[in-house]
Amino acid sequence: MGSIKQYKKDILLLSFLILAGLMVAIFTYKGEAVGKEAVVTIDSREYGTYPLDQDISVEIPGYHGGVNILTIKNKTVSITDADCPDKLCVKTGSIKSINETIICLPHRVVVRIR
Amino acid sequence: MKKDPVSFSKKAALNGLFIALAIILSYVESLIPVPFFIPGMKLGLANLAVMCALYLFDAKCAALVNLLRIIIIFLLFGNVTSLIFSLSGGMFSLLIMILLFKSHSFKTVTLSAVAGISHNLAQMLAALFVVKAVSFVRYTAILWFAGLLAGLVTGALCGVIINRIKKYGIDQTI
Repeated sequence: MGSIKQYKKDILLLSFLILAGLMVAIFTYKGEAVGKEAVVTIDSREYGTYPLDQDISVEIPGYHGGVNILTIKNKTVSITDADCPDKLCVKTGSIKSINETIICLPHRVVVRIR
Repeated sequence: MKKDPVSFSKKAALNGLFIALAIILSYVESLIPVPFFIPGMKLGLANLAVMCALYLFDAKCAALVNLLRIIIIFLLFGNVTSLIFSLSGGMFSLLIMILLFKSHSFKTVTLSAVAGISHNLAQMLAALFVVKAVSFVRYTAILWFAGLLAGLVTGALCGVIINRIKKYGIDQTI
């Protein structure tokens, strides 16, 4: 195998590639498409859309009762409260990039960014 | 290698062997499940045969092996979309490999790593043109490192193989 010297160019090129890959990663995730609006569907039917640049808090009625509180603040969407049993929608946290979703299965509510 | 008829036929036979190897390796690696989150991600074992052709013969042979592998795989299993992807990925990465090879300053590991990255990038660009889905772009970084890693693995393997073949001499291997 010999000394490390004969790998000098290889190590240089490989470390350059790793750095370039990290740059690509930073670039793509920073420029991640931020959504324009949140689309709410209840049992696959569109219920309403809410623009992300207005801070609001609305009650979303669930399928066959129940309620989820949809909150938009600083261009991020979250469900801040719900009376569903598992509260997974609340635990999902906030979303802001295109195609991210919050789903409340018991109430059949889906919030998707687009 | 001398340009007499015997060595020419030897070369032809060995290149046929490499093509057969490349095809079977393409098939074998489709059987290996990849424990990652991108479907279709693979090691690129077929590149072993292509790199052997590049190191033991020349760039022309490597291009031939690669092109024939892609065409035969297409005829056996493929559809037109997968042909576009494998052509763009395979030929672009080979071009990069040949350029690096001609510079005579890099090891197989590096060559293969660069080839892995360029293969994935070219395929992504092809996907952008074919499907026109810009959402692929967010996978660039993942594809980049996947290609790098897979390339390092196959490149290291290839270095071992080529050293063995060279040690015993290409003429003694048949």
